[in-house]
Amino acid sequence: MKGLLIAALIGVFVYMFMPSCAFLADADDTLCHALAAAEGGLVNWPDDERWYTDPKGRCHVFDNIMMSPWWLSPDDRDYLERFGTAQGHNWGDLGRADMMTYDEKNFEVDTPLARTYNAYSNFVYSNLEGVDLDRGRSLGDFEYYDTFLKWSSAFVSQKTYRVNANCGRNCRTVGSHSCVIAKTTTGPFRNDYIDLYQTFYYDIDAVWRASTILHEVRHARDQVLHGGSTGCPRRSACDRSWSTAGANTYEMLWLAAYYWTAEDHPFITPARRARAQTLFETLRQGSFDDPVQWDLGSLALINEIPEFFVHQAVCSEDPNNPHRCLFLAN
Amino acid sequence: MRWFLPLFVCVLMGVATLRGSSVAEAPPVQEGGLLLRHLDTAMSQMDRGAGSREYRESLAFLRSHASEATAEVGGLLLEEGGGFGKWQLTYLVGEFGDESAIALLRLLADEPLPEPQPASEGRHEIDLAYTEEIASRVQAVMSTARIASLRPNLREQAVAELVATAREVPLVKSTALFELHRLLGPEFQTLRSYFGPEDAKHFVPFAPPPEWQALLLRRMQEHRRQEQQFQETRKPVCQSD
Repeated sequence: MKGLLIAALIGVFVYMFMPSCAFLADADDTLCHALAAAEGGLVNWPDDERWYTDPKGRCHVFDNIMMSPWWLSPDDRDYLERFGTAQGHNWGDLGRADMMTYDEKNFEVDTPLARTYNAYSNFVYSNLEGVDLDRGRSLGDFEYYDTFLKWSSAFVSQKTYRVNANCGRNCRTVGSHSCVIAKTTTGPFRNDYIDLYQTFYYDIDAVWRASTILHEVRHARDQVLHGGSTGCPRRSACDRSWSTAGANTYEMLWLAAYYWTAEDHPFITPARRARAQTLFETLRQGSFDDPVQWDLGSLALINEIPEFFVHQAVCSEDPNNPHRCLFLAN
Repeated sequence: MRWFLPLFVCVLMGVATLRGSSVAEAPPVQEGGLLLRHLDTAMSQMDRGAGSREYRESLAFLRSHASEATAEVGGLLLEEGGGFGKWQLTYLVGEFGDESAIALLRLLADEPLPEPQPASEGRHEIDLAYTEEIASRVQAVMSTARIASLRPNLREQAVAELVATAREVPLVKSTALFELHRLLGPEFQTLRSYFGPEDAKHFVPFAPPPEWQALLLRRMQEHRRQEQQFQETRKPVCQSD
């Protein structure tokens, strides 16, 4: 009994002086530290990929200033803001004042806000209409939104209430590569909002950032949450199947639409197209409990008849479980 | 707005040309250093693709030294853990178009995949390294197909490797079959005998039900017309610069 008491006391003593998990997580929040260390309003924005050691600093995650058409146009920036960052919190700290800065070594925009613009740029400039696309029409108006890319731009705009900036890294432990990229909070009697974390701005490329936004938006106003069993590699972000039309399905649909654009597209360069194809396949392999039978070839017509691909039909004859699923059922 | 984006791209190409001149004029120190420098430039400019003069020049250099460039990248590829940089290198190996890359890319596709990190309860964490490991293997298959389209004399060898990969590496089977379909066109059907009934779906072209066909035809015509119109608008804007 006495031994147990001593062991318990030692345990309490060790616990008191042990760094907490929160403390360990803070050590990884490079962006938060950069903000805290700013002098005279000048922030030394972090470099790319905190979890991936590249001593030569060769990593460039698709943020070249030449690929950021919004940089020269206040109208374009205004259009991008109205996807949800205009209503969002913390963007003042995360680059609103100096979003026009860039890293002089590699000509990449370096603030979290600018990198978020680059994510949304993939929705805007993948359409030939660019910022002339009217995002306010009914999502059922497929005569106007006659490609999936146009429809998804309106979908993201209409289904987002607020997008917040967060300087935290939100990974499992210091240096971990298992991270929350973005998180959506939703529910009855509340305005939904999306929080973006450090990983979103600095660990992943601009195409992945865009598909992540579409993924989160499906969680937001539509409130379609992950229903998988955590049996797939993405664990708690698994969906049961393609047909449930969840966030992973929508993300894949957008990546396929991005891929199936004209080869001489002025914004979607071959590297971006290839990236979309690989991200499509990583989701296909790792984010569903039931294997997805559709591949990129199955979605070749997604920019011709988008309504066919998003149409949902009654998918069960069971009166106790009359769920609807995507027309392209799996 | 219709004219703004092409104008912007044209103006930036001009700016890039001016900025790029300092890279092109820098004195070469030694072949190895020059190769690495072009590799760095290709990685930093690959997002812009042919719109970047630096990228075009570096890629031309790397293609003219394709064997050395592939050997240089090969060591890095097989050593590095999953990351965006690894994906970029895998993409570029395909662009070099060297014969030795076919075997290298197959090695990469064959590498055993690490286990994803277990996620915390209820947190929607993504294992970034694991995701990038899959992405690199998928890209390895795509890059093999790219070599086949860049180098007609290597096409047969690359196609044979893609067929073998599709049969032997389940993780990338779908990508290999998709790339084979793109490469071979109607000839793809001749590969059917190499695969079992479970793969039959890859050989049946997907078509929406008949009731969608009329709408599909109308949309396709309309989209071709819009693209043509856009190209015609873009051409004079670009030429004016």
